[in-house]
Amino acid sequence: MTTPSDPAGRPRVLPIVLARKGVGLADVLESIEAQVYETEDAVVVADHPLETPPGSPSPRRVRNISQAWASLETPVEYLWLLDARTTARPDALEALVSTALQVDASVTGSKVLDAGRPERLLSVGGATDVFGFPYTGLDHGELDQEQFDVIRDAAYLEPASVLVRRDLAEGLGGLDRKLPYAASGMDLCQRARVLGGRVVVAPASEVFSRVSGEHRLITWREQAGRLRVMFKTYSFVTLLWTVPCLFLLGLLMSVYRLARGGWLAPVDWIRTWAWNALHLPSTWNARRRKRTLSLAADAELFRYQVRGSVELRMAASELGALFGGGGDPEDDDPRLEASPAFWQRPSALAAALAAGFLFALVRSALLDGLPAVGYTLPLPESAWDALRAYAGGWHRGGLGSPEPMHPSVGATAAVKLLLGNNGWTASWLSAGAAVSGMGGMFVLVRRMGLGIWAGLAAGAVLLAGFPMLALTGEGYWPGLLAAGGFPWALAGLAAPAPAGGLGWIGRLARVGLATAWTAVFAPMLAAAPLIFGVVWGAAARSYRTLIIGSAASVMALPVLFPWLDWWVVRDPGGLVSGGVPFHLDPAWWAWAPAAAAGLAAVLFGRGRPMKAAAAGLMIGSAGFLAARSSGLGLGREATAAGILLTGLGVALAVAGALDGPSTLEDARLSRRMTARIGAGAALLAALSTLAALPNGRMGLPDDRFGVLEFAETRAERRGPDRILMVGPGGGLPGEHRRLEDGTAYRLVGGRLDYSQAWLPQPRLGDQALEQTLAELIEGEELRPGGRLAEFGVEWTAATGWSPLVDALAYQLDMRPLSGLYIGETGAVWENEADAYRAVTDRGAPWRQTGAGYAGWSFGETVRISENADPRWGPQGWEQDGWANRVSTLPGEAVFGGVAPYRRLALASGAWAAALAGLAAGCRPYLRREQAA
Amino acid sequence: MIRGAALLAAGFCVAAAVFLTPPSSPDPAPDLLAGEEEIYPGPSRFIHCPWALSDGSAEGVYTVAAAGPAAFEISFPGETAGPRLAGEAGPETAARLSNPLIGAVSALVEFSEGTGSAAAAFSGGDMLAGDLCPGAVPPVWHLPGGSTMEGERLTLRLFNPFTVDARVDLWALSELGAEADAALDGLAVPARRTRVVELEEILPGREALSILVLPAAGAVIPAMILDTGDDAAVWPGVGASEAWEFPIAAVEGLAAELVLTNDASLAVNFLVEVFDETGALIDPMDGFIEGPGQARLDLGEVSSSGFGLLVTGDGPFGAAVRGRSATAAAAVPGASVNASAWLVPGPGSVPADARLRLLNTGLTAFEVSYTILAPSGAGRRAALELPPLSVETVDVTDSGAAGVLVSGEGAFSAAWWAESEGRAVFAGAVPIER
Repeated sequence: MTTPSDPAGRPRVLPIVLARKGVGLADVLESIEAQVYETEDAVVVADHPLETPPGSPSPRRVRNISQAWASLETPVEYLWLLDARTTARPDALEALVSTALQVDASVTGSKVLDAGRPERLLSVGGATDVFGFPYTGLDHGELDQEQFDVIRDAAYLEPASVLVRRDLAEGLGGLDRKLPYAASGMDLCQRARVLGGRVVVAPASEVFSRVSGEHRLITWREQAGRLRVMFKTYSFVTLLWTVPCLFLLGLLMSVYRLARGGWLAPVDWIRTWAWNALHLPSTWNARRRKRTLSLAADAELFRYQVRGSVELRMAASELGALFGGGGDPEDDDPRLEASPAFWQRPSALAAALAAGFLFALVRSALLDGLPAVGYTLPLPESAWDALRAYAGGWHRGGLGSPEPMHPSVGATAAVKLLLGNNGWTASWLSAGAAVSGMGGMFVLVRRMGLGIWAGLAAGAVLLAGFPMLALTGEGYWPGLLAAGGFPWALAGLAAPAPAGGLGWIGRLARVGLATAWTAVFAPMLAAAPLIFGVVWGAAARSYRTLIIGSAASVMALPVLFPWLDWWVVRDPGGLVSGGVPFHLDPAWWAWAPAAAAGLAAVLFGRGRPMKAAAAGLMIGSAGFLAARSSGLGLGREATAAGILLTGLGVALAVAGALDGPSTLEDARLSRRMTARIGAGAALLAALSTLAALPNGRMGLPDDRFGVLEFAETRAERRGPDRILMVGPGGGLPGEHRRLEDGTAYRLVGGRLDYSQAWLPQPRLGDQALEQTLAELIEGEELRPGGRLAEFGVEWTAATGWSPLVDALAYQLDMRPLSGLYIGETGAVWENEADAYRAVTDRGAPWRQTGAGYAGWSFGETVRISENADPRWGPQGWEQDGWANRVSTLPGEAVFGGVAPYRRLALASGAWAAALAGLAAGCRPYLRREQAA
Repeated sequence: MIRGAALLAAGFCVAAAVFLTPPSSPDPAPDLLAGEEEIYPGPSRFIHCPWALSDGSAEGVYTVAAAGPAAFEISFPGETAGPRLAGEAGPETAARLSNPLIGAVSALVEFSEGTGSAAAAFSGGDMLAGDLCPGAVPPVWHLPGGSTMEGERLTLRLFNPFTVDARVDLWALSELGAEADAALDGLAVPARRTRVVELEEILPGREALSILVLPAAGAVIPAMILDTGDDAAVWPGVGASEAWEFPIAAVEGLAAELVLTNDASLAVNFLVEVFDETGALIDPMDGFIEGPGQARLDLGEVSSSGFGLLVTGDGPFGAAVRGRSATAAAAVPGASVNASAWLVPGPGSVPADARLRLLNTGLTAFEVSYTILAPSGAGRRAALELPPLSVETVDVTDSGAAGVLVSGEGAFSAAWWAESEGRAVFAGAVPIER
């Protein structure tokens, strides 16, 4: 049925419903029928059969908009485009037509309200950025209080309800059916503008949409659609710079979303570009049909665009929420505050400063990669092989051992595996730890009741204060990674209590996960939440922190298996006393400002700042004592934990001192002045962290062992051979051993990687090697190469003077590699004797594989120069001195594995995954309960 | 309360921490005195022979002796596709191998089992020369006793069998004092090569020219060859010692000269005691060696018979004796230790009358026995009484011999010499039991 035209000469309108699969049309058709403005019979654009309720008349279906008006006997003036999920107030069309006539608009949109909660605004039109990302100008869940009820020009309209002049629609060729919901609205509006049409929003026209998802504008299809719109509407010159920028921006945002837990973000980014590549011919055709594209037309579009990137602002807003007042990551409301006023807030400045500080702190690590020095070593090439070795496999340190590896080896390998075995994993981990450490410290300090600037200073001091620099200065990378999780473990203790059971589970899982992350890199810090729980519990008079802290410490222990099991069973004391210890010995000017600040805050402060500083003083001084107790027998892990605790204490003391004066407004002048002096000292301590910035790699020293790559580049088919490293103990990579006279040395099994940073306990072969080296030093052996060949040592590398260097000063079978230096003085010798790690009884070397060795069955047995262990096989194992001999028949020699360790490793991985799952799974509950 | 607890805890911890000192670094420090201690010149696994010569008219011979069963191999570093000689030596046998290469070569004797000693000798044409090959490498090599007078060629061979390039400075000490010449400084000796320095071209006309070899990098084994035209003398470098024994200081028919060298900056005072074959008492002589510098003592007037010397100093120094006649030239460094047993490689390696000279500088007499060692097994055995403060000469001529094993009930020193057709060779021995 066709409604006759209005006798009064009012424009005729054809309602066109854009159907969607699975969406019923009854509501939208009913609301069209109910319009006070008389219309033509509604037409449905659909490429599938319509779903109409039984008994009701089926509307006319067309395949595209052109067909809709072409079928009319009398031309209409306007087309009213309605999404199938829209219902309109009876006067909605009346208002649209009225506004269109009033302002001579070509495209007029309705105010869109949430069909589920009609008081909430979804869209009143809006601007975009140059990349087509919409800026609604609305706060999250903003209520309609008629605050936007003015007729405004807009860059885009949501296509829930749009009135378009028919002649314009004819010129535009209708809607682009390849585009999703929001992008199709943007496409229509932008093309209308390019053709000189006016696009306005008519707030008097209210419609209700069921398209109300929080992320409806940022799906990959929408992003892909916006990109297509850009291709269609921008001039070539504008595309020249916007497309590369959008490419990088999308990449950056996908990394950011990935870091925020959006696991599919990189995939979405790839899909966005792939979709456009796939549809490039149709995009090109659509672009060719528009002859009006020009810089002038772009300028018309730019008039309604906001500066910069809305997406970047949103990310900054989220970070600002973290660093800003009241921002708490557990209060996880994804509020997208992207207004330009955001930058005027202190939190924004703090976020910008933190971002700048962090970038400067880690820039070299991110851009150039990490140096190889101390325990900062490249991650194993194959994360999978490293994980297999970690889970009950063969420890390649020294001459090998079935002993479990340090838990950090398993953790870093797991992360690398998750990142697709990416070679930049170590750099990303370091940068991530720095960001996480800064953010965690900030949150901890904020939860302890201190201000934004105190949080920022505390974060900087934790990451780049003298304790952390002492640790990174030694190249102790695990300490840096531990700092990434450490403050989060404690922040969970200082947070307000969650509302219900699921919230508590989520809280405990988060704290446990953060403690576990910390503990795999610094196992002694598993006790940190317990210590903090005691101290902060006493300060804040809350037993809850003690309980959560104890739980967190206990929850972290399972991830340390099987490493922890080995130590507890074999050498419990070695847990505390093992390894070469650190000794924190800072210069007076480094610790004096922090100490003065802490003392001033404790003595003259009050309230939360005083409590924070007191907690810092207690934790820091206890850590300081541990960090200097190497002489009392504390080993590497214990002293490293002591240094990290010192860092935490200093950070808290600085934070407390900085905020101290804010609580003393009614105090005596002398007290206020003293507190201000303390704040000044704290500021000095915080500013001293800037000294770490020129380095650009978190205080890690210059690369020292990158030169050892020569062993790989010069490797023959059998793979990189062993390197005997000698020199002063502090200059060797990772752990080292000593001869009786104190001479330090260590073996590197081929490629120097992180899995070898820790050496297992010496076994038969290691003892034989020790004896050989002692003989080389004491005797007059002129063929050291022949002696070392038995151990598969192809290379000897000196990092400085050593008695072994003197022993190699003149000899007959170790050829110095001229021009190859390690550090400034070290040198490298190549063994001229055949030094094979695996060789058959006929002298044919076998090549190294991920799990062992492999080669031709040339000969009956193959000697494996690894410490003797009956689990080597797979066939015919026998002990050959300190080494192994197995049959060559299978063509491979592999270590069978230690089943209990494998099970423990799997269980610890499952435990970590369970903690992560609970932490993630209970997050929405936590939010919901808090919102309630 | 929290305030007090914090201050108390912090005060206690910090006070305790301040008094905790780090454990001292277990890294060993470089031993600045390393190399200063005297090196015992005993048998070694590695023996370096910087000089051997074979040509169309003469033959170079290596003799290898060992106190116990020992297998060895002789290689020629730097010689492309050089042959390798292998053999065995032991308490009853000594090996004798002809130099397989033509021309002057350097060789490395390497024992795969046990230790031993080796000597290189050359006979034929107009020459008879040879001496011990050194085992240990001292920090400074002393080569006293050269000269570059008219008609003489003085050649220094610097043998670097090692894998590391060496760089050495040569100090030349002559009657003019310490000589300076750019050609003597920073001489590079590539790994596994021998560098030959013709000293008569650099410092001609020197009546007494001693050389000190100071390695700046790496190590070398030097030997000096004096070619007089009628005969040649070759002698190895030695390290410095505070005492030297010369069983052979002079033999009849040769005018002997003792040359002492000092590489230190302070002068060294020395005392020379003479032990005559006839038992005659000869007054000791004394003097000093300038630092650095050399001292020469003409031994021609000391005695007309053969005699030995004991030279002691108040600091370490190098020492050698050289003997000259109208046709013969011979030189030998001293023995820095005395011992109760000696390995004497070499006698029998040249077609000449070989004699063993034994020196007892002690105050008691004791019996000494010796065994002629040949490739086929032990030869003649004999014993003799070695009086106190005396030298004894034993004829060990045996055409099949390759060495002699001498042992006694007391400490003594040993050396050997040979004469043939007016030519002579002096050579030392290796102590095996202190």
